[in-house]
Amino acid sequence: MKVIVVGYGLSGKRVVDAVNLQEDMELVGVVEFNSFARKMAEKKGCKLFSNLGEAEADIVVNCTLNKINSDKPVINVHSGSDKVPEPNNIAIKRIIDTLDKLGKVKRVFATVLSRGAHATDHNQGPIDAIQQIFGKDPEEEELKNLLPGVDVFTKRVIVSTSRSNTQIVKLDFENLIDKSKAVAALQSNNRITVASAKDGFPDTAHVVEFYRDLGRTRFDMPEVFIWEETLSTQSNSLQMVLCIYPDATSIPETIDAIRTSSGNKLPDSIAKTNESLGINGDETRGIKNGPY
Amino acid sequence: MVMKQGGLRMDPIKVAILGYGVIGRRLADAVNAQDDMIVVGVAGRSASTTLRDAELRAYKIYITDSPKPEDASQRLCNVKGDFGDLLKKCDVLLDCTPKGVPKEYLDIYNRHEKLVTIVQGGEKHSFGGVSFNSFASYPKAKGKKKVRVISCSSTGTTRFLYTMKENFGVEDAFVALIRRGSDPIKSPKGPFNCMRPVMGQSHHVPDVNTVMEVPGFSMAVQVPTSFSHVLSFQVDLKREVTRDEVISALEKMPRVIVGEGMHSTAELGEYYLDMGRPRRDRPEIFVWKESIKVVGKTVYASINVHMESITIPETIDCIRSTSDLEESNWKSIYKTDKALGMDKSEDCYKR
Repeated sequence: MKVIVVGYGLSGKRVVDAVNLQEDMELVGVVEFNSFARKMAEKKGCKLFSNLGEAEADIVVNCTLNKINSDKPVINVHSGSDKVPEPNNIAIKRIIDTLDKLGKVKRVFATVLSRGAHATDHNQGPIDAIQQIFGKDPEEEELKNLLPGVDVFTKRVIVSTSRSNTQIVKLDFENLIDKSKAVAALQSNNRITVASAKDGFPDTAHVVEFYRDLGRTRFDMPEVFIWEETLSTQSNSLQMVLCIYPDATSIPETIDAIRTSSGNKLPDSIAKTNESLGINGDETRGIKNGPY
Repeated sequence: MVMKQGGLRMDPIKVAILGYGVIGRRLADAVNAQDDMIVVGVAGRSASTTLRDAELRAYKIYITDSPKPEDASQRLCNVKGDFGDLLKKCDVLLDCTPKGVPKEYLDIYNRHEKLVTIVQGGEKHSFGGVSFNSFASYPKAKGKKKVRVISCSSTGTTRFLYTMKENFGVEDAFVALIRRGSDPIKSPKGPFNCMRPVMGQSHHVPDVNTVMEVPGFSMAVQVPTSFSHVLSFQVDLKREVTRDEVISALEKMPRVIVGEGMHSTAELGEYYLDMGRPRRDRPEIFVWKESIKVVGKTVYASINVHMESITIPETIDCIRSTSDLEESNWKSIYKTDKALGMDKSEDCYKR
């Protein structure tokens, strides 16, 4: 599959690296206008194009915030149709899909603490505040569409911190859920990590630092990280606090979207993607996996 | 001279303050504003510069430890005596020292039989076996010698859930708290640039349950901001309601503001700064009107708690309850609110 990536920003550069790790994909090149980003792409060995027409590709991955026009199929990472879900929503969807065998979720209440900005965004804020989001939140609408038949309510705020997002999540099931079964199920999904705060993860900074020491590229954590001590059940409800590194969360799902667009089945793609990106199991429990 | 209910004339309650920090300084001014109580002195550690702040506002200064000549109290203040001297002069002691410190003074407090000691929410319910909230548990403090006022976010949670419970009945409640890392004046003991969850249920709903029966669960994450807390509620009521009913119930409740147009905690802080509130304080909870949503029997809302000032009016009411100065909590609440300039129309207090 010949893939062309538009935009070499926070997500674009990661999609490029991820595509390069796939055996069944070939990166044709990158479309980018910003001079700094172009230099970076060149340094990393990418062929640069000024417009889509110049390149021969089967599929386009749009990593910009803008709409692009193409006669080829386009996968949008940030906005538009055929869009990879938002990282906050990917987190919830992974958890609900994984717990599906334990019971059906009928209601979701997620309080989402979104980071103010990536540290390099000097025009974003806030510097010291918790900012409200009112009115229709497209992110909430998207989650509702991802979970048909489920009563979804999200309360999103923007917090003056960089890098990670956290969510306080309450899932109401149709039946009682057993905590240890839930933990086991979640741990069986490679794209979810359940770790104990007492094993060195008192806050999001320690989570970041762990993956930094692990030597992953850009110390990315595409997995959803759940603190085990925050996982508890109350009659039919399961609640937890999770954290994600939003720049990395959607990369596996983006690769899956590329692969399934050419007719591949999703479960096979998930396994292939996980293998190629080194998402092979929970390193926090001392098991080292992955290509370092 | 003040009139107690029943016609017995009484002198104003003599209140002493230990610790002139974030809470202590606000309580001193709040007591000062009431006509039935006075501040007889402020005590603190000899080296503490906050004693200078207290003296600038004409409070009498007492020290709790042995002074050294370079201490702020020796250089900058007119010290009237030690902590023992102050305790002999007061009816009520408001202990506003950091979490865990009041325990160290228990022996001293126990030596003064008639002394009433009121502590803040950093202490446990077991401090005196009595916890306080003006709406929900006022009579329980009557005649008690050791009472703690529940913490800032627990007070905020209580006010919101009390309103829901009184008007509609509460089947279940879940509150997700997004808490400021540190007060503006303090060095960050909170996170500098990360988020820190409470690993398990947070203390808030359990604390609410020491003053009011309501089923619920609370979870909290600390974030790097200094202004105020945001609390996100999901409350399952006992009956279906309309959004207007919920708004109306909140608007009629004292110590609750329903507002709109504020997009962040910083903007909210700035508004009360402009409105001339001392120290930009807002002891009321602020409910973001835009956040109120009703789905069947469930109410969703997010509220703001200004942690530096929210427990101030509760503590004043606690003084009245423990001193048996006022039988009716709503009469005390009205009196406190009026004196502090945060009162609503009188019929809001006729409950």
